[in-house]
Formats: sequence, structure tokens, C-alpha cells
Amino acid sequence: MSKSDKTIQEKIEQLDKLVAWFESDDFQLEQASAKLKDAAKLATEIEYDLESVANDIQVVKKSFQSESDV
Amino acid sequence: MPPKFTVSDFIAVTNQTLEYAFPVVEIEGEVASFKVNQGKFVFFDLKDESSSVSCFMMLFQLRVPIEDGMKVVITASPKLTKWGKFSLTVRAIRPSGEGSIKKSFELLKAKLDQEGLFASERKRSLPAIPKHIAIISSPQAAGYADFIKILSDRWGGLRVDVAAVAVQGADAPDQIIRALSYFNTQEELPEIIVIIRGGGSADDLAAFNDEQLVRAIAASRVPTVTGIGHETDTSLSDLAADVRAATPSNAAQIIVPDRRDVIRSSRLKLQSLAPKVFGTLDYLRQQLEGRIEKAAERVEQKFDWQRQYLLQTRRLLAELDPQRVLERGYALVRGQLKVGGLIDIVMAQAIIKARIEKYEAKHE
Repeated sequence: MSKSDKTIQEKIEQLDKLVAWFESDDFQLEQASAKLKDAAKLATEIEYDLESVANDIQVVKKSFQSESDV
Repeated sequence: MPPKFTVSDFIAVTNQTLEYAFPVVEIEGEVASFKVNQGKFVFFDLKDESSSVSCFMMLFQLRVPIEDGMKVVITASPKLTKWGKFSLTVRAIRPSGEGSIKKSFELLKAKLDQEGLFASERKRSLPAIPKHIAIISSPQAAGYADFIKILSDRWGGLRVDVAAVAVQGADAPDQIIRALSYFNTQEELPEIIVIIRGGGSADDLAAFNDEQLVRAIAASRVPTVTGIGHETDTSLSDLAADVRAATPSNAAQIIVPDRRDVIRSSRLKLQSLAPKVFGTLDYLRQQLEGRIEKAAERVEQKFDWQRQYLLQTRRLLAELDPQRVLERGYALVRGQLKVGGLIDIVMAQAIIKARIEKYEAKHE
């Protein structure tokens, strides 16, 4: 995971929001440069996270073999 | 000297002997005279071409629909009742042979369908990108390995809890039900429970047509995905699950997106932003150029107008030039306006000096 505490999905959602801002009526050229930088940073982080993070697979210790174990 | 017993002792000793010799047996046969008494007790005969044996079981142990004529395999203990009647106490029963398995499947399917367990309105959608999933499978099975391989290849950062259970045989349904119950009662609920089992014969997959298991899947608080067998195998568990995947690998494809697609999509999104900025800059530049052009046109118009005005004024001034009046034939007289007075008659081409002989004032 990159330094940010956000999950990959949260980062994707944030990137989508930024993209939507560029298409919305709120778009202002003065803010575009900063937003573009934010989007580029997010895209880099998403790529890094996706390429570097592995799944955490844990087998539950509990036995499901008989009723008494439940 | 033969042994001598009371009737009760004889029955007890016989049962001990039976228990020792055949603690549990599996017997295959055809069901006849099937009936349920008091909503609790199941009685039927198990027969083949030449023999028949009475069977008894509790209704709750009956996990699949059974009817007369079906071929079944029972798991049972032989017993002599206190009335001297030989009977098999059945612990489990399962259809045997293609025809019976299909018949049982269709009966249970119709029953559960009527109850609405397979209704499309009950199906819940899965989270687009889950963070925490649970797997119910046998970690030794090929289907599980396929699922994990595809899952890990496609996505990362997932918390995956695995319940190791039997995925075939008589114990499988109960183990899977317990695992479902376990995941449904955790403080941190998984977002999806996926039940995985690779391909197998109809008999291998029969566990997934168990009525109680199907009901447990339908009752799960957590959305369920099944990836059982091959594409052509459809179990009742598949029908009760929120999402049925064709295979374990397909289940992984359904549960998580492919990281390569997400990376590609992120790059495309980013690339789509620069044209928007440049497009806006172009638009603003065009607007500015338009305005400058307009302003220049206005200045030009103003100059034209001033030029016109100047020209007209010049013409007017020219018209008022006394020389022009003289050129039209008029003359300017100046001097002493009295008889005998000397005057200059100024014409366009000459100035005549003259003396006034007569002077009369005009009377209007």
C-alpha cells in the first residue's frame, strides 16, 4: 500500500470525482492545474497499490467437522 | 448346552452382536412403502429383486426428497426392536443412480422454487470492489487452487478468510452449513461468502443439492457466490446463491476486477483530463481573439466615421471659401460706399478699382 491510508477503492472513487469535476460546471482553469496534479498522483498510487499489494489469505482455525465444535 | 435368555436379554444380546458386527452399514436398494408419521417419523422398506428390509429414520435427518421407486443408498445401523422386528435405523439417505438423483433434484427444486428461494428479487448485488471475503471450500481441492490463483492474479489487498470443509460426501452439507453460520455471526462480517468446489461426478456434487444447505445459503445475511463444478453443472445451491459462477475461476473473475483493467482505466481517465484543460485554454484564446478583433473593428469604425466627418467638414469649409464664391461669378465690393468713393471690385480673376457715381440705398 502507498503512504495514504485510503483503500484502492477510495482512491478510485476520488479519481472519478476529480475526473467528474473536470467535466462539471464547477471546472475553473485556475484550479485545473492543482486538480490535474492530484489526479496524476492518485493514478500513480492506484497503479502502485495494485501492482504491489498481495491478498491476505488466512485459513480459519475453527473446525467445522462436528456440531460440538460450533 | 445352548444359551438360555429372557426375551429382553436375547434382544439385547442380538443388538450387541449386530452393533459389534455392523456398527454402520451402507445399503443400496429401492424405496417402497415410504411414509411419514406424526410429522416426525419416517418409515419405508428398502428392497431389491428378491429381498426387503424395514427402515426407520427421523424426519429431520431426511435431507433430500425421497419417494417410492427411487434407488437410494442408506447409512444405517441394524437393530432388533423390542417387538422382535428387525429394522434399519437410518442416519443418512441419498439418491443413487442417475434417475433417482435427477428425480430427487427435481422434487426438491420444485419445492424450494415454490417457496421463493430461487426468486430473482431475492438476489443481492455484490460490492464492486470488496475488501473482505470469506471462502468455504477444501483448501486441498483443485477448484480452490484455481480460485485463489485467479483471485490473486486479478486483485490485491483483500482480506480472505477460508473455512476448510469437506466439499463432497455425507458430511459436506453440515460442514458447509456450519461454516456459513460461522461467517454470518462474525463481528466483522465479510462482504461476500463464496462456496468453491471443482468439477466432479453428479454423486460428488450431490452435497450441494442438500435441502438444509440450500436453505442456509438462501438465509445467509452475507451475499453468497457459488463456483461449483463445471459450467454445465447447476446445483440447487447455485440457484439459491445471490450469484452463480460457472466455475471456481469464474467466481474469482466475478468477485474482483482485473487490476490491469483498473490501471488501464486510471491512465485513460488521467489522459482525458489534459485535453479538457487545453480545450478550455483554446476556447478562452478564441474568445479573447474574438474580442480583440471586435475591439479593433470598433476602433476602425470610429476612425472611418471621424474620417468621413472630417471630409464633410472640409467640403463644407471649402464651400464657404470666398474664393469659391467668386469663382461662381460673384464679386466682392469693398471701399467707401458713397458717391465719388473709391472701391475695389474683387473678382475671381481680377480686382477692379472703380469710383462710385451713384449710390442708392435699397428699400425693402
